[in-house]
Amino acid sequence: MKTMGILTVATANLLRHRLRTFVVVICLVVIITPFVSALALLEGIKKEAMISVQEGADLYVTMDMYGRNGMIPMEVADEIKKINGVLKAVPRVISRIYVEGRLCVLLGIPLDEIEETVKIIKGELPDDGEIVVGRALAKALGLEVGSNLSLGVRVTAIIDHSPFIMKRVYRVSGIFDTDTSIWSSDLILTGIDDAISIYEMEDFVSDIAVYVAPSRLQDVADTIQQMNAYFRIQSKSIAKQYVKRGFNRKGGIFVLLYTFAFILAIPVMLIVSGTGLTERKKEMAILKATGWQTDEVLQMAFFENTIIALISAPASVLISYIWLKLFNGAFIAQMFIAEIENIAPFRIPVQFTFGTFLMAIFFSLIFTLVGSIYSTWRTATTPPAEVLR
Amino acid sequence: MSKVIRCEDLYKSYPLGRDNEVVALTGINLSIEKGTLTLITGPSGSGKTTLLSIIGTLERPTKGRVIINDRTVNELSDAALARLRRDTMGFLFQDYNLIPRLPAWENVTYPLIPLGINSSERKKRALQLLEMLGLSHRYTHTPEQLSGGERQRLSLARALVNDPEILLLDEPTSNIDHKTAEKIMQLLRELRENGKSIIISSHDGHLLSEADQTFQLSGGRLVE
Ligand SMILES: Nc1ncnc2c1ncn2[C@@H]1O[C@H](COP(=O)(O)OP(=O)(O)O)[C@@H](O)[C@H]1O
Ligand SMILES: [Mg+2]
Repeated sequence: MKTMGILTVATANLLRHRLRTFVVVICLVVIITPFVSALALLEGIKKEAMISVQEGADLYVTMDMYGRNGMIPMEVADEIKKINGVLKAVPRVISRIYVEGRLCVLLGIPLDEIEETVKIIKGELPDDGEIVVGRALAKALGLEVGSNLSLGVRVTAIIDHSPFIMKRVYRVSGIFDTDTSIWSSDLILTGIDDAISIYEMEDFVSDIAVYVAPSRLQDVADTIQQMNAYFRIQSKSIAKQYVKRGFNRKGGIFVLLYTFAFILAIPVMLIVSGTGLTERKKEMAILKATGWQTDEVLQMAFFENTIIALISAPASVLISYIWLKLFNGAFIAQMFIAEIENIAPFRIPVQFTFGTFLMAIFFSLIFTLVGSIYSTWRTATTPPAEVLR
Repeated sequence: MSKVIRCEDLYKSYPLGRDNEVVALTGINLSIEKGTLTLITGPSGSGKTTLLSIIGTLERPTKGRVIINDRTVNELSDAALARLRRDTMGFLFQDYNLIPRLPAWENVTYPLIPLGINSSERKKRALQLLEMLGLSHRYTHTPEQLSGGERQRLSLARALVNDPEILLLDEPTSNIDHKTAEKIMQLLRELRENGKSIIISSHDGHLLSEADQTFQLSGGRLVE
């Protein structure tokens, strides 16, 4: 009963000091919204990464090369295909390339696999000396079907292992859709034979992606390993772990950065909460003079802050939702997704979870409390006559 | 008869600058019996408000003791003082100290909240008191929308709402016309009949005839 009464008073206080309430809420929203947006983005990217792992092959086979993943003969793919339970074995050549200062991925796979992997929306599948690029990249570089593109591929010489850049000119034979995934946005696809020829390593590929019937996974992995002790086999679950670990680290760095931002925000909150302080002090003294105890006054202040947090947090989540979904995270997405300009050329991945919402409430509450706790405490513990004179 | 309030050798000074001070009360000794009306008179600045706020436990004396119902108030914690005010005291401030922009009836109900009284009961009591003090037509008005005299009566309603044993009224009739003042005096007489102890401060002597006991302050001292 008493608690309900105090809650009523807290609500009335917020309404009576409308301007102060408004300013504090606005301030909190300004502080919390980027935080919520970043969390939602991080969650979204993580989810998408997990999906891309999920959609990927079950096993990836490479060869041990001085303890690292080295190239593997292409014909191994044909051997693996013969194993009972293997649905598909796709040889792949993967290289990182620089295209006009952007880091892209050049992926060489058999032509029929290209057809299955992406949706060509303009032009056709690549022939010798041809590539297909994503729509976003094509737009960014001003490429059309039939344009020529000069690619520099980092190649390690076989004899002395010194890396050098190989320049080649490719013709764009087609453009594929990139709306759905950030991972394909900087992807360039080419036929596997063409990709192999870049490295001058006849018939060697980066890895072989193996798709397996679920019940046969362990048997297939064992069989491949028995084929050659130097084969290295990575399974999906390991990849998943790596993705997760990577994102947890990113999340950690982000939280650290935000801690600094939050510390800077505290003086702002102190100033903002201080508006109308003299009047509020007097009101608290009146309550104390008429029989309210210190803890009841503090409880009232706590309720006020909680209500403010409960208004600010959903407002922040809503604004952040609009920002990310309707405006595609303009100016914030680039902090988390490498190599995009102010406005992302593809739909950015966003995931709002209940946890995001709780975080928003938690931080809003911390901020209103930090901003007002000292002055409230001082007022609530001073003899009322001293404040009322 | 039992003494409800005793003041023993009270001093109160306020610091003024670094090594100066204003002495507001000097060597006050007085005792007040239960169920009486006590008048404290004196010119402006003589210490009436200070004495009432010390008796009302709104501030602590620099020296000396206040004893209320045989309890030495000086020794009590702030929380205990708040409970004492909640359960036994009603205070009418000289400058009303109403909560701004809050409807009249709600202003009256706030002292009932720590007592855990439910909202409908709170409202009922507030409306009763406003009716009694001739303010029922103003119950949704905020203090800003009330005249000086109406605010004073509203403040009195708030002082009475917890049915206090001790009523401390700082210049309660200064802003009120003769007719309303008479009505309030009638109310105070009834309260005294019911055993309440009432202490009133006034800078003029027109309530003298009503009082059971009168103390006169001058420059912070009691004069005979
Ligand atoms: N907070 C204060 N600081 C300094 N001086 C004060 C304070 N409160 C009251 N005084 C002084 O104490 C004296 C008594 O004041 P007060 O009790 O308000 O007198 P009254 O109510 O009889 O007019 C006055 O001289 C006044 O200036
Ligand atoms: Mg006075």
